Amino acid sequence: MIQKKICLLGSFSVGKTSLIRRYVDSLFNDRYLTTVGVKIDKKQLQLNGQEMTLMIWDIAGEDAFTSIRTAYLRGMAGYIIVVDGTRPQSLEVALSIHQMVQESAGDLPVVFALNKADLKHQWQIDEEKLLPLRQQGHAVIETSAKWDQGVNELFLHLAKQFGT
Amino acid sequence: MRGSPDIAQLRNLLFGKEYDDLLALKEQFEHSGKYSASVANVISEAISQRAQRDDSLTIALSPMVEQTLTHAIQSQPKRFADVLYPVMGPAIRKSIQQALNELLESINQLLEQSFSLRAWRWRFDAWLTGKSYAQIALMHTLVYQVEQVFLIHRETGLLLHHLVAEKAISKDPEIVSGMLTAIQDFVKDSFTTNSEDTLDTLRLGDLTVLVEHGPYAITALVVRGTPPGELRALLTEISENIHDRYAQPLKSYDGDTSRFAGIETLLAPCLKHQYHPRRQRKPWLAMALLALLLAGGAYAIYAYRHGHSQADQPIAVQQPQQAQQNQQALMDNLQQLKQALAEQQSRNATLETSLQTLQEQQKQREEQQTRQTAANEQQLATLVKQLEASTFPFINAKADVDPDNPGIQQTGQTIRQLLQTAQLADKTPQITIIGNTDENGTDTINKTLAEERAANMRDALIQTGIPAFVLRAQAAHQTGAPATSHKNERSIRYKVELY
Repeated sequence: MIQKKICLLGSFSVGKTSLIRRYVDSLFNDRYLTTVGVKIDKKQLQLNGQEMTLMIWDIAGEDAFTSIRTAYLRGMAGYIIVVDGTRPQSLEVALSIHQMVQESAGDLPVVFALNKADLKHQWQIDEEKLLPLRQQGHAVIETSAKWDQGVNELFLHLAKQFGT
Repeated sequence: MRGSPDIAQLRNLLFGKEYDDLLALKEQFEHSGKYSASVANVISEAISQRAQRDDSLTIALSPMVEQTLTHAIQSQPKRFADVLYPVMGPAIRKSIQQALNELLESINQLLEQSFSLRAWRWRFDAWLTGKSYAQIALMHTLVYQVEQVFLIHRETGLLLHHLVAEKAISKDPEIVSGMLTAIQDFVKDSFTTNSEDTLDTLRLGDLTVLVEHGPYAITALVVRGTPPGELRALLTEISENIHDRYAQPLKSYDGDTSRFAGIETLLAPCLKHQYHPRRQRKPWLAMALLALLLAGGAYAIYAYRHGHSQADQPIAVQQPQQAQQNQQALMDNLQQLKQALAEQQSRNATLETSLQTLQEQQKQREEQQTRQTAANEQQLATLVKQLEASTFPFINAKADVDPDNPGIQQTGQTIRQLLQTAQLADKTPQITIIGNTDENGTDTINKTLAEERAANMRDALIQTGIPAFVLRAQAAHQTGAPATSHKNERSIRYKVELY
């Protein structure tokens, strides 16, 4: 059995917890997220015929008054950064988080989730703004926790990068 | 054959006295009586020497001794019974007495658990809580039990191994191990501590989590009840053993738990438990039941004998000696029972004394804890009052705050004391910094200025080392805020809420 720790990062209210709730059968209450700043869930999957357990750390989003507790990132094998398509500012926060993680943890597998695809008509982030990320070789996957769109692909894409 | 006298003379000349000795030896071997007497002189020493040298003598003699004994017992059983009686009698009595005591004890326990008030209370608790009666009884008789053992990789927080005691309930251990690591980081991050300091104990109700931090792995025990001091020493020792045996796999851990096969044998000794010693009370219920049975039995025997006594009068007259023997045996048994009861009473007295001492110690601890709690709460109230009375004046239309200002430093010191005291009092403080302005200027400008003043003060206090999450900044002009919160002054005020 292989276990990997992954983290979900992003600005506040971009839909990190909803994505995880859609992906796993959550056992613990979301209250941890507001008290300790992190909630942990587990998902087991088969990859290349091998069992893998993803320990998913849902880390409280950054806002004006709180910043990410970097101690929670220690030992992660990869991470997902979630962007809210309706809020251009969430992309700026995502890029700064990405830079911060690269500086503190080095180059780790990463996938960007462009979330809230169910509100695509309200999106204010166009392909041009995502081009730098794609040019750096990072995957950007459109997701919607509401419609269960792209959620499995998102986590699977990251897991495949662990090279089991 | 001695031959002719000449030959005999020649032999004497050739061998002298030694020839006579040889002849004597020959005669000894040829006559069994003389030979036996000769062997009898040395046989004991010879057996002793051989027995010291090896086991061959025992091996050689065993079948013969066995056959001999079997034959002897079969031919004269009464004699052997007489010989063994002084040994077997007390042994059998002791065995019967022990069995009787155990029977009494178990009957008494059964009766107690079936009919005592305590048992019914436990049954009621079980019905109320939805737990089984056995679980409730276990909770009340338990001193402590290590319910779960976690071995967690320190760097990633991933679970390496997990053990759970029988009948203990375990929720998803992988997630629990992650949260344990996160809580460690949260506490370290939130409070000013040395980098080497670690959270080594968590307590909630009657559950305690003992945590031992090794260089690469964290070992945690979930203990129900009061964990004894030696459990911590055991935990440290096991953590050291794990790091000694699995140093390389721990150091280069990449998520593959198969490299830790066999580690459960190192962790298993942690699954310890201890129960309350049963109070050695006299088993009244069982004794009463036994007395009733004995009385019934005695009456039945009496009735039977009385019925037969008239018909068998001559036989009864012939057996007074047997009756006397039975009476003597009964008296002996009664004497032994009395002695056993006296010993049990002595043990009860010792246990009662120990229990009283423990209760007194517990009472003293509780009183001390109560005094400490009251002192903490009083100090906390004083600090809250002090902080809420303090203020910080601003220059007209400015919101600048210098973190090095002595007033800010003093406020920071007060808040730190408040946080420490709140932690001791098991409270979580939330401090709201409320920005104020005077009545000059428009509402919009004043509101922005008040927000800036509160936010700047929050930043300055964070720079003095106050954790960000306890501080909240807002303007007094907020919608819904009470009118009393707005002071007509160029300052900030503090509001402390405790949860």
